[in-house]
Amino acid sequence: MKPAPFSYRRATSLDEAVAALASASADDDVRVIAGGQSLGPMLNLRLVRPTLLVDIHRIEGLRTIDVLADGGVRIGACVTHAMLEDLPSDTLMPPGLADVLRHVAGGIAYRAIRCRGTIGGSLAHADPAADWPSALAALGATIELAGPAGRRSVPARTFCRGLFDTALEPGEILAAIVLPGSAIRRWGHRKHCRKVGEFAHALALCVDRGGEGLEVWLGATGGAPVAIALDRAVNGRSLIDVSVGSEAQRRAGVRGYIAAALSDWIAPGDAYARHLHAQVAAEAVTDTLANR
Amino acid sequence: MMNAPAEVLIDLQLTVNGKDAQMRVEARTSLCDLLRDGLHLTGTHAGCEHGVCGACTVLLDGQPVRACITLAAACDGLAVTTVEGLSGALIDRLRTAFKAEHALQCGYCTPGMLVSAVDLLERKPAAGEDEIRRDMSGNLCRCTGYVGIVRAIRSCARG
Repeated sequence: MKPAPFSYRRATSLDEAVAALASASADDDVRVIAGGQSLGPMLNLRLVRPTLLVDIHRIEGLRTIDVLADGGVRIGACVTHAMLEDLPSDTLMPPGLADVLRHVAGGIAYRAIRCRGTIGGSLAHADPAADWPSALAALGATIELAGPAGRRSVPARTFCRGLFDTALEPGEILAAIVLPGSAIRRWGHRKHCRKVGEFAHALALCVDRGGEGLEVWLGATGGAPVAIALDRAVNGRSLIDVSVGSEAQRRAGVRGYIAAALSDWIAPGDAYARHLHAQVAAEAVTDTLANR
Repeated sequence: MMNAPAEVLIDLQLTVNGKDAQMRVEARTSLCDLLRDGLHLTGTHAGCEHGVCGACTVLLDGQPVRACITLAAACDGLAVTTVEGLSGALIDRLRTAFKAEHALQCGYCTPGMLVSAVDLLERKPAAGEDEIRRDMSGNLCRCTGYVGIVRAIRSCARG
C-alpha cells in the first residue's frame, strides 16, 4: 500500500510543467499530478509506477476562475471541486451556470476529496464514472490544452474518448475549461450511487441553454459519455408529445422516450445497467422540463 | 525553481500543529506517513490507504484532506493540523459529546471523525441529521453503526 519510488518535481508555471514533460528521457514514465485524488490511490496500490511526477497543483495561473468579456467562464485546471461547490452567491457567471457547477461539484465523493481533487485532473484522468466528463460536455465546454507545440482547444463533447482515454497527446497538459456565456434556462442532474460519495453507477445532466439542440448527457457508461438528442421524434413521438398528463404520466412518457432513444446503444453491463441509465437520464430530463 | 532537477529526496518545510518542521523525505512519502513515522504524531490513523475510509483525515491549510493520498512533497510550505492539534471550544464539545454518546468503540476511525466533524460544523454550524449523515459519509466506522457518532455531532450543532 505504498507507492514504488519515483522522482518528483513541482512546477511553478505551466510552461515549466510542459518543459518538464518534454525534457523527460525516453526511459521515464512521466505522470502529471494535480490533486492526486485518483492518481494517489493508483500509486498506493501500485496500479501505476511512474518514474517521475510533475506536480501542477500549485501553479497559480491554473487555480483561478475568470468571467470572460463575452460572458463565458474560464476555470483553471487546478480549481478544486470544493472551490466550485463554494462559488459565492454574487458570482458574475451567466445565470444558472453557478447553480449547475455548485450542484455537480458538491456531489463528488466527499468533502476531503473535493478539497484536493481538481476539475482538470478529473477530466484528464477520464474515469467513466467521474462527474465532469459528461457534465462538461452537457455544458458545452471547451477544453484548453498546452503542449510543446503551443495551445489548442478541444470541445468537451469529444475530449473523453473512452475508458481513461482522452484527446490529450503525449506531452500535453490540460490547462483550463472554458464554459460558454449563454444563460442556462433550466437543467436537471441525477446521479445514482449505492453509497453516498462512491463512484456513480449512472449519472445524467440535461442543460437547456436555449437555441441549441437540447440534449441529455449520460456518464458512468463504462466508456465515453453518451449524448441523447431530445429535439427529435423517437418512434414518431417528440419529447413534447410524451410529456403530457399527470406528473406520473409525464415521468413514464419521458422514460419510454429515453429508453427508445437508447435502444440502439450497446450499454455496458446487463439489463439492470441499461434500465438504470435510462431511468436516471429520464429523471434528469423530467427535472429539466419541470424547471421552467 | 525553473528547471530544478526532479528529486527522489525532497526537502520540506511544514507547519504542523503550529510548530515548524523541517524534514527530508522520499518523494513517494504520503503526508500520513510523514506525520506518523517522521513526526510520531500517531493520532492520524492509516486505514485503507487509498482515500476511502477517512481515518487519516487532517486539515491542510484549514481544509480537510486525506493524508494517505496527499503526497508530503506537495505540502511544502503549508500548515497541517492533526487531531492532536485541534483546539478550541468546538473540539472540546465534540470530544465530550463523543464520550457521552458512545461515538467510538475501537477508536480507529475517531481521529478522522473528529477532524471531519470540526470541518463540517465550521462550515455548517446548524447542520441537521440528514446533512451530518451525508457529509460524514466519507468516514467509515466498523464498530458503532454511526448512530452515536451522528448524535454526538448533532448535539454540537446549533438549533
